[in-house]
Amino acid sequence: MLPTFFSALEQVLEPTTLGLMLLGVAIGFVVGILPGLGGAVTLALMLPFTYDMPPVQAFAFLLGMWVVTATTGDITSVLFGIPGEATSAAVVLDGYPLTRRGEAGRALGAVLFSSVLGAWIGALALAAAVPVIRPVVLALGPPEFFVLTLVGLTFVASLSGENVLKGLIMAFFGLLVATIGIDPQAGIPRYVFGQLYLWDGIDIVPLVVGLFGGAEVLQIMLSKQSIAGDQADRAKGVAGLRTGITDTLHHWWLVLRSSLVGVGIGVIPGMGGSVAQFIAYGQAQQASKHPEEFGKGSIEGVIATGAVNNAKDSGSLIPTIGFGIPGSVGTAVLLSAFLITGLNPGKEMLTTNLDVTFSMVWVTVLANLVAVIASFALLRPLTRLTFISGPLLVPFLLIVLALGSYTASNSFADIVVMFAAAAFGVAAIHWDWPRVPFLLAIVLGGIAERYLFLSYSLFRWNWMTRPIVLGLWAVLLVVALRPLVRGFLARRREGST
Amino acid sequence: MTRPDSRWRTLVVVLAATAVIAAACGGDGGGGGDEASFEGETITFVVPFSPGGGYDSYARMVAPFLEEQLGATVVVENQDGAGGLLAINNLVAAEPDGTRIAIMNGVGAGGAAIAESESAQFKLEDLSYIGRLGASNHLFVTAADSEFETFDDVLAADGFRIGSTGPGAADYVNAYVMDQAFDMNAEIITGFEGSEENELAVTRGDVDGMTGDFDSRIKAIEEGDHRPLAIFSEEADENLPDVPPIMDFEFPDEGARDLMLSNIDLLELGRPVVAPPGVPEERLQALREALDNAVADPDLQAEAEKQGRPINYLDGDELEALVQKVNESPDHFVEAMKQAYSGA
Repeated sequence: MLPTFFSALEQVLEPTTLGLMLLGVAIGFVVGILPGLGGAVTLALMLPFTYDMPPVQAFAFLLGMWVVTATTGDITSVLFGIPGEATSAAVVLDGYPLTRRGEAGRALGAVLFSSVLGAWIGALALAAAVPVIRPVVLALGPPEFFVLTLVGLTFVASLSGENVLKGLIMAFFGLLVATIGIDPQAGIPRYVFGQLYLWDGIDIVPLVVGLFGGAEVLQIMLSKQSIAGDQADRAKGVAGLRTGITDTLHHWWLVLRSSLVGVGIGVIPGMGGSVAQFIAYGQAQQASKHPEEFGKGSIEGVIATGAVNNAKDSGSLIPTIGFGIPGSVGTAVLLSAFLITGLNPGKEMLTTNLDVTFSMVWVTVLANLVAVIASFALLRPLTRLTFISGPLLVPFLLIVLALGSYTASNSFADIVVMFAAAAFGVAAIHWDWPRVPFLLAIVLGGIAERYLFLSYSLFRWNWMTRPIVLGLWAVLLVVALRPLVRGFLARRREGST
Repeated sequence: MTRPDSRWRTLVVVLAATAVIAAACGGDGGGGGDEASFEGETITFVVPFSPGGGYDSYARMVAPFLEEQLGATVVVENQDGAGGLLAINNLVAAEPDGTRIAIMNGVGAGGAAIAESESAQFKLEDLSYIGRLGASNHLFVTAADSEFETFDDVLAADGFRIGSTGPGAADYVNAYVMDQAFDMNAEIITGFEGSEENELAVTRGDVDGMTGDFDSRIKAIEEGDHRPLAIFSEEADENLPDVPPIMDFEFPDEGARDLMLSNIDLLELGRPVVAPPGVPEERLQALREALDNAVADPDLQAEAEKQGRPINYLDGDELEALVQKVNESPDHFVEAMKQAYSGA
């Protein structure tokens, strides 16, 4: 297996393949930066160009493009508070406050460097998973997924900020919104008000783009300032780059943990990156020595969300390669690429076509490295944009946001959802209600409902005592009780001194 | 802050914004609509699902060949929603000048229209039919290590669990009709996110079997994970000659047999290319000819072969005849469809 691993690298480094990968990286770079315009749509557009390519070249091109969107999507999150991809929303939470403090350079250094590390850890996990892909995917079914979504939901408490009650109310509201659409079991439309658009529930891309990006644009508009506020010290913009990298190295354990969260959630079909980022963020806050800084510009929050984003792509490749079952929309398009290039996902990818599988690992590693180096080179002009006065930037950003949302499903309703979410987001910021529990509950609520019903129809109540489920109950208990125990211990310590 | 500096920035921003707007509006050039020629016009080819997957692949594969035939620009647009029906309902309301066409999920949209589901705001006979790109047989499969080795084993068993994405989906309709026709006492487990998740549940043994079209099921069969027990057709499939057609089995009565036959006709609709109701005759004829010629192009045939997306073409007239047949399905099939769409 090891010789194949390295011969795969040789294949990737062949001039044509490498050139195609770099072309892919360049396209992915721009797509990642444009808010809303997602990697999956671009992949579909690029697919026809691979018709005549051999497999390794086709995947160097496509994968090179796709994995980079997650990296550069973080840049706009940090600089403008507008997620470049729906999966970069959590980066906004701490990256953007850092920018407003004039520490954009440090935040970008941290998020980009942790992205690269996350991609590498994810790629490593993918390579390591090769021998066990099939048993692992087969061991996880609806009951396991259901308990995992519950674990995700417990992070609502720690993601609520100072007022847990407000967080719970927002989460509850999110769960209600999650019930919109065709119910997964009986096929009955709920709260759709005769609108077919609502049958599939609220689309997550315009929701995230509006809730975070749109809300921020409106804020800029209302404040009539530049994003970096009154920070006159412009040179400071990129100065902190090296600090950001050092910060990331310093928090290596956090990088590793967040990456593994990304891989783990990436494996679960239907869960996707919009969930992984917040769970990684939640666990970072729970484990942090300075949880109170989260949401106000904690470098740990930035590092965790940077790492998870890129690791989850490798995670979602695992079931795609092993079974031809895509773990995300992006991998669904990549699956078509398998067919176009004449590859059969499944056992072949782990035996006769093992070199192609390993070439994907290498592309992930190399593409992200290239993208981050390029980002570092382009940072100075990018950070300068944040000093443009608000009213000038706003029209441009609004157009980009609207276009980005529209590409989600090519319905005008997407734009309506985006603006509604933006208005809701502004209100939430203004009256200090946390947005994250709301979003998390919308995404997880629908999945939890589906897996709960499915578990029950498949196994009745016996699903609760499956061995892996029992283990996950224990995890759930630990995760849920940890903040309480911590608080209790802290109070006791205070009391005894 | 120096003034000239900020004026430059204004200019840059305004220019960039204009460029974006121009790019956004550039799509709907063209016009005309009365002439038979599409030369120089822009045709939007709607895929009613998100990128990736069969319908998307077919549309993107055919689009360049259609472009060549019509001398028009063909843009593929994904409009996902309501199991593929959102896009078709929008299409029905669109300007019927032939510049907006769609690939349709024939079984899903056809079934919904027959069942008069509220999700289908059109009648099947109202649409303009250009041609059918593909239709593959649907299969009934179990896990390779399942105790059910033949379809007779399934019929003899007391109860059988079939996985499905949900009421109204093709995998549900097939399972439901099969259960009704053979009086199988089957339980249909709904709620799977997609056929892939359902496939894993079959492999794992969580459910006993599932139905699905040939192209999506063949992989697990070739991998040795699944075993095909029957084909929803009257004749065997040349790629799986040993798998019995479902019509070869004994039905309890003639009505049950008709039920299954009507279902097979519905499956035959496959992946048709449609346009809004009332496209002028000469425009429709131009589209039909273009698709006929595109499909006959050996390059497209080769491409289809390579991608494992077989072209199984019906021209506009043949397709219309098939739609007619489906539309005249017996009452008890319509009733079964209504049940299958309401999930009762």
